[in-house]
Amino acid sequence: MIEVFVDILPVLMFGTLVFGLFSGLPVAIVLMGVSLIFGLLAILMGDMRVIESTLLPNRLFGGTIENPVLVAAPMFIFMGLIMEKTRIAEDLLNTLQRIMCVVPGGLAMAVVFVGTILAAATGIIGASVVMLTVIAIPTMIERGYAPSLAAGTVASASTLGILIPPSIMLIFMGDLLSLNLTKLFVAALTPGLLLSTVYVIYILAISILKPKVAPNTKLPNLGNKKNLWQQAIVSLALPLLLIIAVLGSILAGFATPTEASGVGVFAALLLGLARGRLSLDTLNQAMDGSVKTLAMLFFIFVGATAFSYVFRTIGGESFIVNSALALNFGDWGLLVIMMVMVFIMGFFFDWIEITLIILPIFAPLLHLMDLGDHLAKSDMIYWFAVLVAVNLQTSFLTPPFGFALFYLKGAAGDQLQMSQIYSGIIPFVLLQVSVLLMLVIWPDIVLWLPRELLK
Amino acid sequence: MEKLLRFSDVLAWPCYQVARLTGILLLVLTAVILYDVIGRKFFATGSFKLQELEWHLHGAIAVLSFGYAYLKDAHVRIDIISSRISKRAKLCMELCAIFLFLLPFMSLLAWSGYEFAERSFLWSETSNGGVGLSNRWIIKSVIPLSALLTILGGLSVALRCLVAFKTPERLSNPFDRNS
Repeated sequence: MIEVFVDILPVLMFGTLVFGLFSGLPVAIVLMGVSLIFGLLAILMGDMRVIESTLLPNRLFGGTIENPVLVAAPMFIFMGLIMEKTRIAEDLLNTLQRIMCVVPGGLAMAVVFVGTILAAATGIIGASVVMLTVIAIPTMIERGYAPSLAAGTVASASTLGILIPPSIMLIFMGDLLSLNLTKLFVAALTPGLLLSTVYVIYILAISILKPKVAPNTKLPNLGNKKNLWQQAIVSLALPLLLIIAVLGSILAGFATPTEASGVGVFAALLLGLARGRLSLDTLNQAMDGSVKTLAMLFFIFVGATAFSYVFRTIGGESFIVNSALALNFGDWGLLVIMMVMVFIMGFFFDWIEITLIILPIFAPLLHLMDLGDHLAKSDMIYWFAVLVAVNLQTSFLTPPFGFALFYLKGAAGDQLQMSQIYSGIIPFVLLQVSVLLMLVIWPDIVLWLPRELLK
Repeated sequence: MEKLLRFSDVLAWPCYQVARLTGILLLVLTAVILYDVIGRKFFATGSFKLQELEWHLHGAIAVLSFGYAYLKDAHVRIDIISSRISKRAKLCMELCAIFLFLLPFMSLLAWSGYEFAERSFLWSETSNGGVGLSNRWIIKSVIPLSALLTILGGLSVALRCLVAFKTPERLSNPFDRNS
């Protein structure tokens, strides 16, 4: 009897976690509680020694603190919040929309463009959806855009941030799977740009085919031409330069992600200062926001550290590996199962929970996986990480549960009906799925750039 | 009730102060990275110590504001189902979670973290290879300190939950929503 209990203990532990997460208590505290309960059980049954529970500080220190890779995370979050609070992002979108309103679907394209380059602005999906919704939806609807197109564009553009570097999620993934962060960033770049290109093509096509959904109107109070150009330089060229410089220096191997992130913060501060928007109050808001976001992230990190330690001690890792082998689906089958699991979890959880809890569980399987000639084994984890990112983004967008859609509705209020959001997002979900399939079929889309760039 | 609230504010005070300090550390970290980059790219100065200082600062920023974030209710929750639970039941659950999960976990962390830092102090541990910063016990102490602050924050939230439970008209939400 006891033996059976021991065998299914990992299943019980995982089940308890899922059940606990839906209680609405803070995720981190649920992780800690589940670890305590099952750690105690493991001690009672002799699977774990009491002294092991005092190893937690060592693991935290090694995983969270003495970890040069993670230094970029607080800095990029800080940079994003400075750009948000000094309204650099908002100006960027407004100016871009003014310039692009002559093109069919120009307003929507500007949104995609801003979503792509501001991917760094907020690591957290909820926050970036809200930001882009608040600054973009009212103008588009006012200009007569179909609410569904506006909703679809905003939702998909603002979730690009989990994929396009310097994505905070990639920093954590790189850490958990012990990957080279620069290579991971480079690997994610082509798929990210591919996605935004596909969005733009779709928007252009639908605006030409159905001019009603994206009327081609000039914005009022355009001011004189000279004014416009001046504005374009100040609010478009400068932030663009900042982001290209930060990303470019990482991708070109000139700077490590940490160095680039620090310089990015400094440049964002200068930019805010130059525009006279950086008061002490704004700076305080940006600091406070970053502190809260970081505490939230690393609190889960603490809970997840304890959880994965106990889970491994009670045999969770071998349980997963053994059951995966016993299922005998082959390596491709395994990949499909992992992707489906990630997709379903994306309905309920943000990437933080998924990356920090699930990736350590998947990691042993990944090391076993061998897709033969399809791609080199050393590249496989990079490819996998990018697949997970695109997959998660798709999941955030998929009705009826899509995580991003709820935030969109929440921030847009009465401007958008849920049904309009659903119908608007479907074409984008189809685009996502096709890109995901392309990445699976042709891994070189992911792996070509790192191979060429980082010789 | 008023006494409980005042006591809760006392417990929360250190969390708020440290969180503010953490915010400033972000600026310090920016400055250190900048100094490091300029030094290395243009003046060829070695910067092993600076790089070590960078992750020291990052580590402090990462763990010192858990209690503060809890007071502000900034920790993520999955509230898909729980939006249907009554307010009082939620407060009860929060209290149970604090006393059964958060406080024991953080006490364990505070105690073992203290020993962890103490060991480092007694052995006068320095960085690996001895080329980096000395006195590693300082950064190791942020772990017990973080646990301690989280305990304070947790207790403060617990007291406010209690007040909100007993006298909902006095306090409708145990968390400090204004940022």
